[in-house]
Amino acid sequence: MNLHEYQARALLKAAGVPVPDGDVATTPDEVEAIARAMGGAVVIKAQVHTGGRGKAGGVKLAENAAEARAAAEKILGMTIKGLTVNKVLVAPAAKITSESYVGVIVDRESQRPVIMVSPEGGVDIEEVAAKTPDKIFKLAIDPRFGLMSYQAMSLAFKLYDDVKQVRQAAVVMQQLYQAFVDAGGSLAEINPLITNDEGTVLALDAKISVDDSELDRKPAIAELRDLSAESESEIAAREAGLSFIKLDGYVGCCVNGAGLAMATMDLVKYYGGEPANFLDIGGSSSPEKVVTALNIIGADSNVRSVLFNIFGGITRCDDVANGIVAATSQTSFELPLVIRLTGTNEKLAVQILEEAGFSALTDMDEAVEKAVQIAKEAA
Amino acid sequence: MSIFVDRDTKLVVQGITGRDGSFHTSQMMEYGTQVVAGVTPGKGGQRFNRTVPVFDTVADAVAETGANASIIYVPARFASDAIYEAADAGIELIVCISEGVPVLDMTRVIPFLREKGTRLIGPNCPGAISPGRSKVGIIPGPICREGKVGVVSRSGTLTYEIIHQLSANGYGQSTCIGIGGDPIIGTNFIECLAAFEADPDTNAIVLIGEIGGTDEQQAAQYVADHVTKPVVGFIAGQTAPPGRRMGHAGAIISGSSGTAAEKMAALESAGICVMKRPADVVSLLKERL
Repeated sequence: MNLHEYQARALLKAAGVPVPDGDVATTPDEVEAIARAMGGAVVIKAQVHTGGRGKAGGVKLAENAAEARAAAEKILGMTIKGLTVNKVLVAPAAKITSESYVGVIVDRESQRPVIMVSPEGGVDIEEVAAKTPDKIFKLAIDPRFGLMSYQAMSLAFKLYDDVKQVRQAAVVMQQLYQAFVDAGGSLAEINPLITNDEGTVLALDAKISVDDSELDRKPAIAELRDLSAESESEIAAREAGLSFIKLDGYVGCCVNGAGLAMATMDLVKYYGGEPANFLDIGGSSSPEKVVTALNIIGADSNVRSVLFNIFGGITRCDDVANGIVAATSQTSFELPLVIRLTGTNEKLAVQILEEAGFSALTDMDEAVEKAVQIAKEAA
Repeated sequence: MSIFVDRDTKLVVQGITGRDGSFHTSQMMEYGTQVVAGVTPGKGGQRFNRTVPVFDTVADAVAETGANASIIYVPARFASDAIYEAADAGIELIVCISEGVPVLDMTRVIPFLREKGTRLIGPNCPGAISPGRSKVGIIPGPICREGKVGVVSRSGTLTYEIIHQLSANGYGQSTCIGIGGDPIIGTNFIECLAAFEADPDTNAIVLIGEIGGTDEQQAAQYVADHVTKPVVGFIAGQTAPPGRRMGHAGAIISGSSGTAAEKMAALESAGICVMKRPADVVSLLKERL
């Protein structure tokens, strides 16, 4: 789960990181009032879950409250990479003398949290990594001890010459790491970490992504989820315990297991079709889950056929069959189904389906090919 | 022969009285696995299925029964504690089935296990099965056949699909292992490849990967450098869009790395035959054997 910049800023501030003041607004009126109260120049930043906000025109500088209002009118309601801007952050414009990058990620290779810093801040860190990899410095953290002072100092010396700034930055790194751990992060970054005209180190931007598996034990973080940033189908899927991602094709896919779901999408493509979605109904299935899954797939007007590919293990084929029967007995459901199931309680499932007038296949290739063919004929 | 699990595997089940734990314990016992103990705190002294003694702690179970392997079915938020407990009790092999274990928990678990010298398979995995000998996990027994193909995979049901294709076409398996779909896991592809290479009763290896990370690329390099047995590979997620997590916490394409195309190219350049679809496993193996 991604947090908005203003939410990440608040978490960093709570951890002690020096973050300039800032306020969130949803209307130009509010922006104007905030800018007036702050006095002087302000920056208005779109709050959406994507990078490249500046390039898309979602970040604007305003010299006064009237300009701030005008900027807000442009930014609020605009779309950036398909996401509508509903909120903006208003913060005093900083006088920047240097920009660095500081970030913490979970690194698969070292199997540890890794802190990365670069004196080349304010730009995409992937760009820095591609063009000047020698300007990125990394350190793997032993999570049992955390980021120790001397480690943070050694990295901070790569950013600043002034030892006062080195000490400030080292403390910021430790606070960032703590905020990362406390939030259950998979990523936490400050980009840019600036020095201002008074020589003070400040975090001007903040980004935190949270490991979804942490949300159960971190209710305060889970509450930060912005439902307005998600599609209805994604919310419905998550609440039902399904993994769902909408794609642009026309063959709806309902599969148990993430790997098999991906392989099924790939096979749809192999037989000349385009998958409409990724959908994993998960391990312990229930008929209710299958009903929700079919409703979500059926709500996509591009879908012309629905393919079930179930390899029963923990998942019981009869649960899936009961779900299919329950969902299709609703009058609104009219899409053609191609059902492949094999494994646990397969015979029972076939019986349930046949009594309801469906037939079931046992071969994956045969089922996928048929679902693609039906979808193409329906076009 | 086989790798990691065999007839001498003496298993303790952590979470034996839970819904998944009890169901799969029965399945494992039916398959012939030596399930010697169960652990559920507060239920020590009871018996599972009137036969398997239940203990309050793993240490008690090990002391009483000589268990040398453990399988974990506890809810994800308790899984890391269950792993520490098993390792501390001297268990040599831990298989963690639990799905949704926080990744930061795993960053702490891994160095602890290294110090103890304990092998962990998973988390978020289907475990391992050596057909005809022992099953530690949830891979359905009836789809497997005894034989000489080693199978290692990051997936669950996709692995079943490929095992099913193998068995249906006369290719039995020495051991099948699901290593798990999370970003940080205990046993990786390379360790499994090394074990299959060393196992005299494995004569070919099937490697099933997916998008995200670079484990498959490293595995490919290892095959090129160290593996003499034929290897056939598959990568799931050729149609997955970048930046979206495909169910598994590890299955996400970030930037330009971790794509299926990149992984398939790495496998091919290491001399591994790459399947275009799961059903190709049979014809490719036939070519190589």
